[in-house]
Amino acid sequence: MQIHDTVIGTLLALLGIAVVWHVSSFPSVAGQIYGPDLFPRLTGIGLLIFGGMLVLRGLRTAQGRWKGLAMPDAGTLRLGALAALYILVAVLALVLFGETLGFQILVFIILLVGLIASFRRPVASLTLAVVLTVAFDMIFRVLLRVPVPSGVLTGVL
Amino acid sequence: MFSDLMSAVALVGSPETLFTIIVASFFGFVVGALPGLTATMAVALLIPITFLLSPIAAIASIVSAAAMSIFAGDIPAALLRIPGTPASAAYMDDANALVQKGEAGYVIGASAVFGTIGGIIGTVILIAASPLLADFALTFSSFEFFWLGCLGLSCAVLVAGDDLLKGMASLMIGLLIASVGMDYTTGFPRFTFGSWALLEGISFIPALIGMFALPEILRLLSQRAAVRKLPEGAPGSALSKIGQAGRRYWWPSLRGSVMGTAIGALPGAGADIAAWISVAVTRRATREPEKWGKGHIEPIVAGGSANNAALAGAWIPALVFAIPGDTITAIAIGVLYLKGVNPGPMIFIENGSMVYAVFLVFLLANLMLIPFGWLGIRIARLVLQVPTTVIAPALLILACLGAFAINSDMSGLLIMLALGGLAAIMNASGLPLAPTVLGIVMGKIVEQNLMQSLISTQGDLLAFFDRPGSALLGVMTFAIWGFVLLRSLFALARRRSPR
Amino acid sequence: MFSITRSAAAALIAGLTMSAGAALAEYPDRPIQMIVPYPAGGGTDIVARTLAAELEKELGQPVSVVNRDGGGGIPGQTAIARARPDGYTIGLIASDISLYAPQGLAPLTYIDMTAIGQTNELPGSVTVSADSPYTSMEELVAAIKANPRTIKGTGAAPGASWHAGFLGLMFALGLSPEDVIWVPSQGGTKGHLDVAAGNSDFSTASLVEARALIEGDKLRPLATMAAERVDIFSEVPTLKEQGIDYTYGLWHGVTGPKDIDPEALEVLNRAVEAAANSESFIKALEERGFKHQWRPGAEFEDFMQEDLGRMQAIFSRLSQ
Repeated sequence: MQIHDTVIGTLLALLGIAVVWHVSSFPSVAGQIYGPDLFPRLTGIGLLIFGGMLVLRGLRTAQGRWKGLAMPDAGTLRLGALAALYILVAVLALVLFGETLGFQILVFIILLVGLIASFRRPVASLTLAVVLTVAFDMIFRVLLRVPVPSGVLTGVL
Repeated sequence: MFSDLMSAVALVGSPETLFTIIVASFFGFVVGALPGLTATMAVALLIPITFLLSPIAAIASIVSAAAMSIFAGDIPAALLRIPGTPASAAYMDDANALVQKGEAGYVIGASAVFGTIGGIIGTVILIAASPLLADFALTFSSFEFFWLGCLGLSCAVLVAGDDLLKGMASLMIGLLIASVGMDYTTGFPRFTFGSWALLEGISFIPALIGMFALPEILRLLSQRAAVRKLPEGAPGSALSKIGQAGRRYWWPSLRGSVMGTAIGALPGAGADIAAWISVAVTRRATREPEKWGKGHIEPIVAGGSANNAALAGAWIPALVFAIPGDTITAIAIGVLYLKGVNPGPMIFIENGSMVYAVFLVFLLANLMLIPFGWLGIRIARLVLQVPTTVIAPALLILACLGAFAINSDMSGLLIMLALGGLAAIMNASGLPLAPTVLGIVMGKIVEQNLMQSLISTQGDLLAFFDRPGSALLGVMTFAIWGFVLLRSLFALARRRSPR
Repeated sequence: MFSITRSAAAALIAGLTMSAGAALAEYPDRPIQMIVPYPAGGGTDIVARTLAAELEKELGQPVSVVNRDGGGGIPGQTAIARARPDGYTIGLIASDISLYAPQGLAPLTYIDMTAIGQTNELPGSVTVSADSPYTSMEELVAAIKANPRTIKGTGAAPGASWHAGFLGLMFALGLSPEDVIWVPSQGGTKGHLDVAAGNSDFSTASLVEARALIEGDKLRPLATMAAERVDIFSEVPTLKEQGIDYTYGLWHGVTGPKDIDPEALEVLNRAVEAAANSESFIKALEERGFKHQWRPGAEFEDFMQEDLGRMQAIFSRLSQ
């Protein structure tokens, strides 16, 4: 996938405008010339300038022949979208259900799904998922004392 | 002094200390090699154990774990494109490109060897010039730190490559991300949208994991080939190649070590900034600019030397004025106090043998990098044989656990996810990631010192050049920018004229 | 493959039933988390980690220190208040908790927590550069009065710890805080450093944070904000001795979430009291220059109420 300079430039410039507009609502401190808005305002102006220059450069070099978004072929795209969905769902599952269900169960499911989908050998995948889940739990929770939430398994482990 | 040295040798030579150094090195190796777990965390986890140890063994454990975890951070960066520490991110592209060429042993070996060299040079400077350098570090006020931060940010753009415009745009994204959270001067929450998890700002580690690990996992998952076929590396053993690199790039290594020590000695500027600045300076001075970014050993030499040297440098103000140079020495100072060794100018007189013992421990801890570097090479060989289809899901879990571990909070996972998405967009638009990372790492330092300076001068901009040190650094910053702008204008003019 | 999963499931069920029995055992039967709302290596962190080592001995379970830093301590202290009140999450809080509500930063006060016990205090100071013209509080105050808005003070971010101490001092002197330019700094050590580097004129952070700089002849202490002279800085006079009726100090203490399980609380109360008064904890505190100050639960709660009242008075006077 490729995003053209003109498109990303426009996005950055718009972000810059939004930042400059948003920081003007920040409170100023009595007796101080510069407040909490100074630094983000400077970066917002920077985004606007460099985004704008990217748009100009993109338009000039392309001379009218450009595609805003160049997509790869359908097969690659489908595979990429599936992979992105897997990552997204896995992370959100940990965030939403990590406290209640516990990391260990979720980690096992995520590993199993990921391994079966890409490794495609059920027995080996299951064994690997179990081994990796135990290994991660031992390293992070037991050895390094990271307070990984165990959810329903609290007190069991 | 000689008797101090002898008793120091006895202290360090005790089986307890030597054993501690080995165990702590191993611990640092494991922690450093896991993404999301920093050298600081390795040291913090050691604190309860230091209670049980003799004073010198306690310090030895901290020094060894820190030195080793900074080096070990290079391993996942090289093999998996996931920097173990922000310092490793400075030369990750070249390290990974070399691994893709089948040179994993060479890269990891070089990282260990030049880390050792940097650490030892840093220690020698620590021994020779502690009181002097500490006095120098004390003259730095917010003005000098502001300019130093600006110099660091300039490096971001210099490192990023040829497209100045995209480098700048990327830097602005990083600075904007750095300004999320409670404002330093008033406590006003900026861009937090009511979430208290964002009050503390975007923490580096989840951000770093998101920006580098998630796109890499995505790439691995959407690949069709299951086994990575790495070409055979160039003929010759890793050792002989490292020797060659040492002969060829001794100057970047020495320069990186000296700069790393000096930057490390400044309170608030640690190994991360040292590595970035050293790589940037080397890039400007290199004789082979065409090789950079395609698997070149020079940045690994320069950055690897600098970050281990910075660890030693950070001890200079810590020992002399109890001012921590970085978070690791902040913890070490606490442990020194607990052990009844009070850091301060008197430590050299009252506790001379202790100081020499610390120096000896530094030398030993850095020498430990070599055997552990060999271990790293063996592990790398194993990791590279695992099919990518197995690596990708495991990496995802590792990334999530790392992002969680830094603050023990779910918000780390969300930050990782958001910045992973940002990195994917940036990759697709050809925006370099390095300036954004440096913007996130240094944005707060630059802003806080800018605001602190502006408030203490009541808005007088000329005062930024009043102090000699700050004037020098300011002029240097402007000189770099003048040079870069002139060069790009010149390039633009040349491109237009033939037509 | 089927047989493998079946035996695995059997093992899992066996494991679950076995540990379900163990779950009913007496508190504490698993590791305890101690949240520190400040970064690793800071003053609060050292107190927490020293205390945790002693607590482990008392409770017979590992006590792991978790740093949830940033945001002026608000996220970390909120996490303590919102933790599951089963006694497996406690926290080591600092006096910052009295600063949030008076400034409208967060609706979080001592009321949202269960007080377990105060461990120590850390008095503020007034410290100038070693080559500064001021040798006593009197001279510094005279200079502030003679040249308002030129003298620079530092030691903390506005609204945080040592800045609150500074505000109280100015009110006690009958001066307006506006008469001094407050230079924000990231914590006490950085504030002292700014004074030593010759930018700010004085710092209100603790003597502990300045100790090595004083020994190295970089800083000169003018006064301690403690009620009595501090042992390891016995040559530094108090403010009271110099005719200024004012004291200020930070404090640390152990708390848990509100409505903590009473059985667990009883065990914790006993364990924290023993740990906080253990020889090695007191020794560690004194090595660093903290003042050991034990206040058990109810007394600690009264103390926090009083502290909140004092801060409320300072900040409401400031906004007038």
